[in-house]
Amino acid sequence: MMRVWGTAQDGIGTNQREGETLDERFDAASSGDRRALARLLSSIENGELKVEEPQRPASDGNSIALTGPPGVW
Amino acid sequence: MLHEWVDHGLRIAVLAVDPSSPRSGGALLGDRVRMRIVDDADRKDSVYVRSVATRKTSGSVPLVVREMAFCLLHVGWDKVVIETVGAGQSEVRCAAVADRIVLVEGPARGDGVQAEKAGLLELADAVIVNKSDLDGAQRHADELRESLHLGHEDAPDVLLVSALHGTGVAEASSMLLTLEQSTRAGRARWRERLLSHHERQLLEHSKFDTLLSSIEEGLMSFDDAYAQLRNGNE
Amino acid sequence: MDQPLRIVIAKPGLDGHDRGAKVVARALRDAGHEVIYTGLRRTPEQIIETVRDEDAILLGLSSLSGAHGHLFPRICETLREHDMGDVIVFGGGIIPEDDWPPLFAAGVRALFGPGTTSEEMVEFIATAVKRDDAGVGHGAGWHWNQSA
Repeated sequence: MMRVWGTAQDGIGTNQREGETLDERFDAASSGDRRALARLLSSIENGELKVEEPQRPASDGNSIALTGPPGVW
Repeated sequence: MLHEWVDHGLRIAVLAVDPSSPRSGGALLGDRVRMRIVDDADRKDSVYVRSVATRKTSGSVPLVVREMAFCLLHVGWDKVVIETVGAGQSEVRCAAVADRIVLVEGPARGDGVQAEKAGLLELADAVIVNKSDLDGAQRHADELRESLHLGHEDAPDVLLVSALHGTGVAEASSMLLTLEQSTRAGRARWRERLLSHHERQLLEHSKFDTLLSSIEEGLMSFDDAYAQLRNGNE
Repeated sequence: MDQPLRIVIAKPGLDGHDRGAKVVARALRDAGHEVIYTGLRRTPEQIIETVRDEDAILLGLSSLSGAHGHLFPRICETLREHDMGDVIVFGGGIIPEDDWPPLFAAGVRALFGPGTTSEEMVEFIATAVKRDDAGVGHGAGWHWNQSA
C-alpha cells in the first residue's frame, strides 16, 4: 500500500491544525471532509508531505490523463 | 463525460493542471469555470476539482501530481482525472503519471499531424476527436488513425465525439472505464517518469542554485557541477 | 522562496461584468500568487465550496450590482459556519463608502474601489497573511482601509 511521511521539521507542515496527527487527517479526508482533503493535497504540493508509490504500482486504470491542445473541449 | 461516470455511481476527482508564469511564479487557474458539474446539486458531492499550477520548478510537477493522485485514490475517490492543456514537455510529463492517457483533439486545422504531438501520440492509450459536429473532425480522425498505424500493430482507438451535442459521449465514457493500457505506450510512459524523477532529484539538490551560479560565473565546469548534483545531497 | 498564496476571486450576484475581476486576477498572478477565478454569477455556497476544495487562504469578492450589502456578510457568515474562519476576505468593485462599516463588521478586511492600484492590493495581502487576526473567523476588528 501507500507509504506517507512528512518532511517539514514540525511534522506535517503549515496546514496542520493544532494537535492533529497525520492519521487523523487521512481519516477525515477519507470520511468525506473535503477541507481536510484539500489541506492534505496542499501539503503534498508544497513538498511537506511525500507519498511513496508502491514498488509495483497497480496499473488499474484509476488515474486517467486527458490532454490536448487548448480549446478542444 | 464526468456526468456519465458520476451517474454510474463513481466518485471522480479532477486535477486540472495549468502553467505558472515563469516570470512571476504566479498562475491563473480557470479550468474550474468550464466544469459546471461542480454546481450540479445532485452530482457535486461525487466530484472534487482541484487546480494545480506547475510552479517554478516545473520539472517536479509531474511527481507532485502523481502523489496527489495516489492520495486521492487512497482516501476513497474511484477515479482521478488529470487534465492538462497543451502539448509541451511539461504536459507530456504530467500525462505520463496517469495509468491511462487519452489525447483529446479537435477537427483538422489543415496542417496534418504535427510533429509536436508525436510525444503525446506515442503515450496515448486512446484518442478522442471532439467537435465531430464541425467540418474536418472526420478528416482529422482519419489522419490520426493513419499516423498511429504506421509501424504499430496495437494502435489506440480513435473516437469521434461532440461534447456540444452529446454524440458519442456515452460510448467514449464507457470505453475509458474499460480502457486497457497499450503495451506500446508502457515503455514511453516509464521513460517520461524516469526523466521527471531525475529532473526532480536535480532540482531538489540543496546546492542546485549555488552550482547553477558557479557554472554561470565560470567558476566551475558544467561537467563538474553535474557530477556533484548526481552525487546527491551530502 | 515562499510558496505562492492560493487566492479565489469570485463574483457573487447577478451582474454580468467581470472585467474588473479579471484585471485583479491577472494583477495578483503577476505578483506571484495562484489565482482561481470562479466565473460569473456564483452563489455564496458555490464560492465557499471552491475556497474549500482549492484550499485557498484568501477570497476576493467583486460586486458591481449593489448586492455586496447582503451577499458579502452572508459569505463571511457561511465561511465561519463551515469551520473556515482562517480564510481572509476582501472585496472590490463599486461599493460606496457609506456601506463599508457593516462589511468590515462582518469580517471583510479590505475594500478596493475602481482606482485602487495593484500594488496596494498586493501590499494588503502581504500584510494580512502575516497577521493572526485577519481570518474571517475573528469577526470585526482589524481592517486595511484607513477611512470608515
